[in-house]
Amino acid sequence: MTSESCIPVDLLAGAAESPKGSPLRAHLDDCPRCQAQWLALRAFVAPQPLPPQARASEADAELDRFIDELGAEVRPAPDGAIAPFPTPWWVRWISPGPRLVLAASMLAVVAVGAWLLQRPVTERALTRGGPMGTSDSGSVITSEPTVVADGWLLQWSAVDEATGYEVILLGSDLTERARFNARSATHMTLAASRIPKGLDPEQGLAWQVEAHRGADIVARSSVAELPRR
Amino acid sequence: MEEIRSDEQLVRDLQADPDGPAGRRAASELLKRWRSRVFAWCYHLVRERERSMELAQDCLVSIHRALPAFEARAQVGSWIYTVVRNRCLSELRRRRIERLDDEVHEPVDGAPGPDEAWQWKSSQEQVLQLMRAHLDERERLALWLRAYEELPVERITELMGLDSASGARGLLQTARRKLKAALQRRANGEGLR
Repeated sequence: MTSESCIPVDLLAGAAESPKGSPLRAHLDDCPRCQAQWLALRAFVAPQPLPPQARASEADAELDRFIDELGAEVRPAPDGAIAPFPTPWWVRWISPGPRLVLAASMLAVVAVGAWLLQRPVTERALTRGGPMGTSDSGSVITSEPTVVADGWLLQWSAVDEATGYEVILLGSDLTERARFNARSATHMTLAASRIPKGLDPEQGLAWQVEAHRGADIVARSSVAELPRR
Repeated sequence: MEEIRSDEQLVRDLQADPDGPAGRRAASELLKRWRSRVFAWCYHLVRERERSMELAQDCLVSIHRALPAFEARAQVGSWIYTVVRNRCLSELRRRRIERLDDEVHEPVDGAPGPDEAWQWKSSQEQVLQLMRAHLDERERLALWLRAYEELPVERITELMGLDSASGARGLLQTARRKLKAALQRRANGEGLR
């Protein structure tokens, strides 16, 4: 018996149902590792009582809401890649002619932005009043947020070396207004009630995600608009 | 009366129409069918409600994303368990790495290199051999559940149906004592330094 020949967890049920004496069944009967995994799998499938402090029925209700929100989002491509952003409403709304003018204006804005960003951090902090001095190395890719009943469902791609993520909420002037710790999750429901007083989602807010490893920032997403509710 | 669809049928319905209303309903029904068990498993492992809720949500997102590509070589429940188990074990390992980070103030890479992986595999083989030679069936099972599935002791007591006062703790203490003695004998016998 070697650990290399152990039965994959998802095939354990089939092994247990195999006739006695068959190679798979013989392995299962003999291997403590596979027996332990089989016992754990059966325990997972059977109902598991929880202590009162787990508030199981509340958890069910919370997870039901979460599943409903999940069902409303655009499913990522089957290979696991983040789905491309859908065409924003304002692009669909503007007719093809003005789109060119708008695109040219946006290019000009991007060029000015790039020029501003290459100035020293201190100079930028003075003019913008924002704490955006860290370089945008690595990549966190955010998905289009989903508007849910009580806020927004925010999702982003995982970064290999990250141990945690923070969602940064930016005002319409793109300065940081609040941070939310998402721990190691790659999604978070941002409740509208958690938007700091004085910020109006209808005036245009933005968000971005920072990936951390301990106290170090390992990656940061680009800034994206938080859709109006 | 609406017919209750099996898990496998729900997956087939979802795969037939992954982004349409029928597929979404099937996904939602399947996830709601399993969400209590996913949360309970996370809770048994991490013992913190809020963290368990986040972990359970992570697991549901992973399952939701992977469902269109699910291949029916295994039962749906076994596959869901695999996703949840891997996510929970990786969370427990991440916590250990963070604790190490705090203790030694040095970054610790979670991924083992080839040498470490080989050493880990080789020591796992040795432990398996020792367990086989020196422990009885219940001791082996308890030790494996604790050391490799990382289940809490009280949970092992429940799963193994132990009703003695010390439960799995007693079994684990005996198993560890026996393994330690066997390792000591082996070291002496082989003349290790």
